Amino acid sequence: MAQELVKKCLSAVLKDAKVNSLTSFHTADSIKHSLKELATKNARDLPLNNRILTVKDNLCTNYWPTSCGSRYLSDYISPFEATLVKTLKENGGIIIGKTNMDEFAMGTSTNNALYGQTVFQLSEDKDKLYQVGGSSGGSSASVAADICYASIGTDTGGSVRLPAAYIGCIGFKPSYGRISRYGAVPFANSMDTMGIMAKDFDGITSVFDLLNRTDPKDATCLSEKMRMKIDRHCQKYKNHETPSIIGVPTDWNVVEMDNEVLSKWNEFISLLKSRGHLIKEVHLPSSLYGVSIYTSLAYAEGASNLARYNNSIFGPISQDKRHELSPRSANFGEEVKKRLLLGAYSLSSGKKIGFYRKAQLLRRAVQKEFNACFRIPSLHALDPSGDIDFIVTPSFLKPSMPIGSKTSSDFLSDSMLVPANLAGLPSISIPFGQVHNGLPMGIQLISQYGDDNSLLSFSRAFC
Amino acid sequence: MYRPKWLASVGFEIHLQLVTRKKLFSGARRGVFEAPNTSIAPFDVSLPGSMPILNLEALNLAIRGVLALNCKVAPVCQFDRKHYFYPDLPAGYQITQQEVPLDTAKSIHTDNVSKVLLDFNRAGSPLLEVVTAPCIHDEVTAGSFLRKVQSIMRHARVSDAKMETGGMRCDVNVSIAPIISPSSESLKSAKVGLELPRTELKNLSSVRNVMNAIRFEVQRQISLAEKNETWTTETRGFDDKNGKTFSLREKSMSEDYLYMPETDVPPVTISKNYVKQISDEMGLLPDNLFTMLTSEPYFMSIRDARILLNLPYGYDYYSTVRDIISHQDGFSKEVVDESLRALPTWIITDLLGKLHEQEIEEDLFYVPPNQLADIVCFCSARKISRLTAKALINHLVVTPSEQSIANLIKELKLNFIQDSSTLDAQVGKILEASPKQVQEFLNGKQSLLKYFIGQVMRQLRGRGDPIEIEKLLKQRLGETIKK
Repeated sequence: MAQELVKKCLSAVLKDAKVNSLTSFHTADSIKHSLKELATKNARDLPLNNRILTVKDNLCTNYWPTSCGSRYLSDYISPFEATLVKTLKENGGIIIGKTNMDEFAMGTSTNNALYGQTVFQLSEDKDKLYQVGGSSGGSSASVAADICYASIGTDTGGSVRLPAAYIGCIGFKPSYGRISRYGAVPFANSMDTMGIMAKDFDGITSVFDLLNRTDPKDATCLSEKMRMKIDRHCQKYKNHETPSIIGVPTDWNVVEMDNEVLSKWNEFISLLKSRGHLIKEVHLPSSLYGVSIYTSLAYAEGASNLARYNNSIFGPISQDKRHELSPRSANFGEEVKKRLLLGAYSLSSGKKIGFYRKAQLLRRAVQKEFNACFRIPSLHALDPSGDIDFIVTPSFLKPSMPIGSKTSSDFLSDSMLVPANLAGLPSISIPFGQVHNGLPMGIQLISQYGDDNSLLSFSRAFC
Repeated sequence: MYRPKWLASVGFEIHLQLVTRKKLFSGARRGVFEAPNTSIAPFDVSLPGSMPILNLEALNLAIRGVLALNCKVAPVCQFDRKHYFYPDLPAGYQITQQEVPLDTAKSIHTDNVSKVLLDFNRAGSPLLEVVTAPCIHDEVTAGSFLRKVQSIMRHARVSDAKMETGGMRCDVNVSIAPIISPSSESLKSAKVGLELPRTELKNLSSVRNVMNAIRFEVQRQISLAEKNETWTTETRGFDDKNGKTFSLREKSMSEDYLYMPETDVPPVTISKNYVKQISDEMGLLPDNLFTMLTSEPYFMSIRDARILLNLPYGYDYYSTVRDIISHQDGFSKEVVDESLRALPTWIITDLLGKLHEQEIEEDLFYVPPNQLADIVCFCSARKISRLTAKALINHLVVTPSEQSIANLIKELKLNFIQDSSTLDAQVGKILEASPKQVQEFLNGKQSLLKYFIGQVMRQLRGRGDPIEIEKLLKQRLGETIKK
């Protein structure tokens, strides 16, 4: 057992040298540590049965630092573990390391001052390195490089599904509140969702089944009672006839969408038809403002969550007097600083009349439009419902690009994925062939709040 | 005729610490006098990844506080983040409640309280914030108001409301306005001009200081206004040594707290049934208690009732001692009745008096209820003299003892001397030593009888039975007359 683990770790280190996905991983010491933990259980009987896993570096572990990709927390070791980390370990999972990310989950490129850029190799002989996306880019890269069986990331505006789509694996974001956020360093509390990435669909479901449970330490994690209510509710409206009704939001076909991505979307729709499912056009116009809504809301919550990095509790003690910068200026990266300013601005006009308030109202509109589509009515609001089982869109407007290239529509990279965060809906990105000679294509499927298991079983058939 | 030229207006922001076992969001114990950093949880120091969980006990106490002040409970309890940087605010924000204008503003007794909010302070302890309209116009009313709030909060078991130990903090807003046409009815209904810049008074450590600070500040503002000088809105502190307010900082009106909903604490819906449950379980509040105590079967004087109810746990103490006395066996019904009747005086005059004299806190429990009950009953049963009883109370305040009163009496040699021969001997001694007074008495100065009794009691160190002494004196003096 020990030998196998050592072998796996060594191979992981070698693979990681090429992609830079891990921020901390096993040293001889930490292998001993993991083995001590495993010795107490007979892993063969446990659901995760010695599976190798990685977790994003904003999930608290009590052995490795939880840096969130920031200078502020470069050596911060949390005294408590995230609930999900504990659960994975208790069920036989071996966490082999923490993965790289955009600083404090703010970004889509997985590049920071602390650990550098994580990359994706299209194939062995191509030496061109591609974007992994973000912010959970390290997670997706570790999955792509076969370093792990599955990886856990966080998805606030697409940060699990986008990197999964870029590198061609499965990325699943459950309904908001299904997986505990206790111990996950927050970016936007009202949108943060723990997500799972894997190449194998069983990787997704085996991990989800374990983590999909209540946690008294997180007041936003659905209670046992609520879960039963939601499950009964979804069952009641479940479509028992084989052909599902698929909604296609044609208004999401914006001018920035890459031609080949559009073709793939159509191809997937044809595939659905060929399997006997019914296709219907739907309209989700407010979602087109998704990125702006997200900027107003998530950045504000992010600014609030980062307010604690203001004193001598966190952050390196600056010996360098040359800079004369405040610690916050010195230790935060550019993207974080930009978002802090925008977040504060969003909140600055007061609760009743500022951008934040307007964005909240528009967020409700996004949710209402989704509710109008789905067959399963919302449990939260008395909105009218429709007859759609699943909504299908591309996972992105454009596929991955070489490292270093920029375009004017980069800020839209999450635009297909953000609406599901705004409405808290379960969403999955599955690989679907390639575009532009080898770049992975991803298709997104969305279902009604709480309908996670149907979404998973439906999507499995296409993986 | 005195025509006031200025109307002062005073409003309060009172923070009351709720007496919960644990903190508001972190699950750590709400340590009051504990060593530093021994009752903290990850959330209290804002460790990344820690999350708030609302303490329901705090919510219940807050609801009780709202009901006790005759305000309405808002149907939904939701929290916001208020952002500012301060050294002991690790998160850079405070979880509080921005005002919810609906519901909380209306109340049945309109005068004093307009808004009650749930707040939480830097250390994580739950606070109830009470905001009043500027409807108080002098410092005496202000003092009464604060004491009433304290009394209500203590009786409702919501807060100990002790300013000295942080149970209650009071910020006061003071402003003046010129009176344009005075009213003959009341100061409040006078027509006033534009309000002049308001001052916020902070860091006041007692009700007395609040009153003194208000008085000084109003005077200060009036003096400036009458010299046609202006001043800006500011925050001032109060120096209780020289009795003056002093500037703390310019109150920045444009402080932006960037309020945002606290989404980690889902809104709590509070049903009318829930509120009713809490209301039903509440004990009697000061006003009801006052009515009760001044009626049958207590018949306490208005003064005594008022003083008792203003003491921390005064009613608790009184009712406990009452219960003990009522259930004493070994005493006749007359003794019990007499004890109950005399009890308020024992508590308010003798026990409280000694506490004041010793300048210690007004905590009646310095003399445990069972001990006071014994003292009062023994005295009513004339097992000890009134002077002895008082001496025992004094002794216990200064030197607490767990002994029973019976044992204490023996130990301190305070037993009542009723033995005729002993008393008679003393009476004889006194009369012999005071021939002049005896003569005056025989000449008609009857009041000297009290003097003789007092002298005998002094000799006996208060342990004599005054009634028996009086009898013996009259006997002796009568004999002298006959002679």
